[in-house]
Amino acid sequence: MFKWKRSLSILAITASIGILAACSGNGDTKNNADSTVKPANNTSSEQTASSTDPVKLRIMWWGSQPRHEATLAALDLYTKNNPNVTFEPEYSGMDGYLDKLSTQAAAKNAPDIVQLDPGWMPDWMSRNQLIDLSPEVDVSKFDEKLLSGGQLDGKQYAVPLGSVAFGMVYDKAAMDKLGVANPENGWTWDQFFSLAKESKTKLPKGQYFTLDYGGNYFVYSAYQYAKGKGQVITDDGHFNVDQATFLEWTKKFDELRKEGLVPPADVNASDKENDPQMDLMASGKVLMRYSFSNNLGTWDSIKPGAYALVTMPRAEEAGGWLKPSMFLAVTENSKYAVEAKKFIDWFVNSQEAADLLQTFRGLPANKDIATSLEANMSELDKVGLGLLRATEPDGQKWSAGAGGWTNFIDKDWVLVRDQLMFEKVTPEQAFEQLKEAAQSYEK
Amino acid sequence: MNRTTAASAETVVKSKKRPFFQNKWNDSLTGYLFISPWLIGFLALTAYPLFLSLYYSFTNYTLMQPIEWIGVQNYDRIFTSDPKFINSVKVTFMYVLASVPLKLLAALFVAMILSKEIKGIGFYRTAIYFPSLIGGSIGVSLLWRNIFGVDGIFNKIIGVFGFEGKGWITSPDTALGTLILLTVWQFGSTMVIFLAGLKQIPTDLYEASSVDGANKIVQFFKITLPMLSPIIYFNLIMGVIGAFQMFTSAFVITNGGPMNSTYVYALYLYERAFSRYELGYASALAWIMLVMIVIATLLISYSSKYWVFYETESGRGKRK
Repeated sequence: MFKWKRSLSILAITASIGILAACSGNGDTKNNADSTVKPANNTSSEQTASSTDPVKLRIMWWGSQPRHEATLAALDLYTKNNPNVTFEPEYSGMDGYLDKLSTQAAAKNAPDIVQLDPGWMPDWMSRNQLIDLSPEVDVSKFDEKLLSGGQLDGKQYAVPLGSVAFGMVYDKAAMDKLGVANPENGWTWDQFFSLAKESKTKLPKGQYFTLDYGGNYFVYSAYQYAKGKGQVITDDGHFNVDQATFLEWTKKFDELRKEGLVPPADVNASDKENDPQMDLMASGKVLMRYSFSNNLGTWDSIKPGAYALVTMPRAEEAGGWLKPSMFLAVTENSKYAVEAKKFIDWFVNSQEAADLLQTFRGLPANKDIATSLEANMSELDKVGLGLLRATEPDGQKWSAGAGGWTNFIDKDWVLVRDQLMFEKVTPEQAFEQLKEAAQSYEK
Repeated sequence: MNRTTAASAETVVKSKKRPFFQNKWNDSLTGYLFISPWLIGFLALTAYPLFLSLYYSFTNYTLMQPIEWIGVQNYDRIFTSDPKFINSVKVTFMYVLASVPLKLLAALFVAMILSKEIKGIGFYRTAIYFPSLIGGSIGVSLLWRNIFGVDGIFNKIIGVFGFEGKGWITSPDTALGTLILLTVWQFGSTMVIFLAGLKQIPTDLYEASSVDGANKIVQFFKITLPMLSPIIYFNLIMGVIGAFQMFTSAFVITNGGPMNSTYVYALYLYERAFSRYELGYASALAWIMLVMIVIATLLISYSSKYWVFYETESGRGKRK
């Protein structure tokens, strides 16, 4: 009656073969050879037809709802001006964005135009995944300091979309209600920690001063900068964490954790920035967190009028810095590279695009556009601009850093962060672990 | 039985007058032509990528640079100096060992209930099977994240009974357990196969045994389980293979965290391939996974002769 046994082994084998097929790389050697030639000779992939042929450009970005709406409006306007160009937008939050994009790029199916984080630029440029934007994209009005992040070997592979300042956002409404003093621009790390302690008696149960930044890469970077110890990873690709500073920092957060001034580890781990439900500041669980000057709008849309910005605390040196908010680039497999570049030129240099895009990607990197926007800015944007201006005078010099360290920051550092947070390692062990993990990235 | 039918068919053909083109080769050619869509699909979509990945596993293929043959270096690195490999294997084995038996138990339990002929049983079966249709999707994973989050509904419910909740998916002690629970909840297709198996068991066995005074529990262990053992065997193997490849929920809900407690093998493989572009290395990992699955499958199938019961043509009740 049952004839299971024989068919079972066949099924089992077929199933296991299935996995391998799914897991194996799908590029082939021919593609591979192509991509090594491309940078020298990328005009071959560009369309030579006249500019009235229908063109469909795929474009991908991450962001919050207001940014999506503004960008979609800009795309519509461009299609109205150039009826032959239509768009296939792919937009999402930051979560999983790089994974998705990397997968598409690996399959030679990346969108024509992509938004990239400054931190990814060295990797993407050195892997020849982007194409030179000249001559279509005009960068003459751009700040040289912001442009450099998208350059390699004298070519401009990506344009910065805006400049943002790294600072902090705090729940002004909640702090005023609790009677906790507001921080002021130019405050110090000592003031930060004493304000935390001060707030202890005022915070009700389930509310905390700030997030657990004991193992946070970015905030620790700011602390190390402020102490005058320079970059965490040097431009030439070396691990440069100052042991004394790292231990000082992690131990201070150990204290905050013990005193209940930062959320318990499992609560802290559930935080998702800018998510209306899961953002711990938006849900009123913490009073402050780190932020970029252009993100205020997103929180404000969740709880209008409640939040304010302040500079990153400082010590001997400034803690915050200005950086390009993000880059826009054309990928190497784009079939309509010329059209894509023309669009980018419009996107970053035209006043009509700027009127729609406002400062959702930071204060535009094109100086003329930035000035024009400043003239009639919303109150909210003025707060962002305030942080930018307060950070500008002596802010740290931003650097795209060395290529190839993305995984160190996204994976290895995150593991150590979790271990610190869940108190599975001591600060000393955490330092050793980071040092050890860094070895495989050093060249 | 098949053989006899085939033989008799052959004699029929032989007895007829044979057209000249119908030699043996043409017979098989027709067969191959009929299965050619599948055959071509298998060769192009399964066999070719399969062997390509075997080849890649001996190279330093990184998608961007030209391919270079490096022998067993990838395997050497995996086994001697890759702590993430060991960690992900550990997590995967914990996941397989916990999720597969639990899922089988849940599926069998529900199948037993749903095998009863009561009014509206079709509706219940559909309703209970339904989660499995959507179970593997991103949407359910997101839902799960919200249910078991710090402010999730699960904590609110246990809060009513005075328990203090925690971040189930954000705590390293419970994150894997939460993912296992999600897997167990998707027992539908396993359950349907059990249900079919239960229906196959002749009722006269139960009738005869109840005449002999066997109660329900004895009947379950002496009749239901042995009669169902080939189905259990099938579900076990499929479950193990599926569990080894678990990816979506770990990727979407926890992304391997916290503290790598849900960093399963497929997730590690994915990251090597698509965030670090180390496709050669990832291919080597894939082949190691294949070997692990084959070994697990062989172990189960070897053990099966001690516990799987087959009915023979010559009557019931003989152990093989």
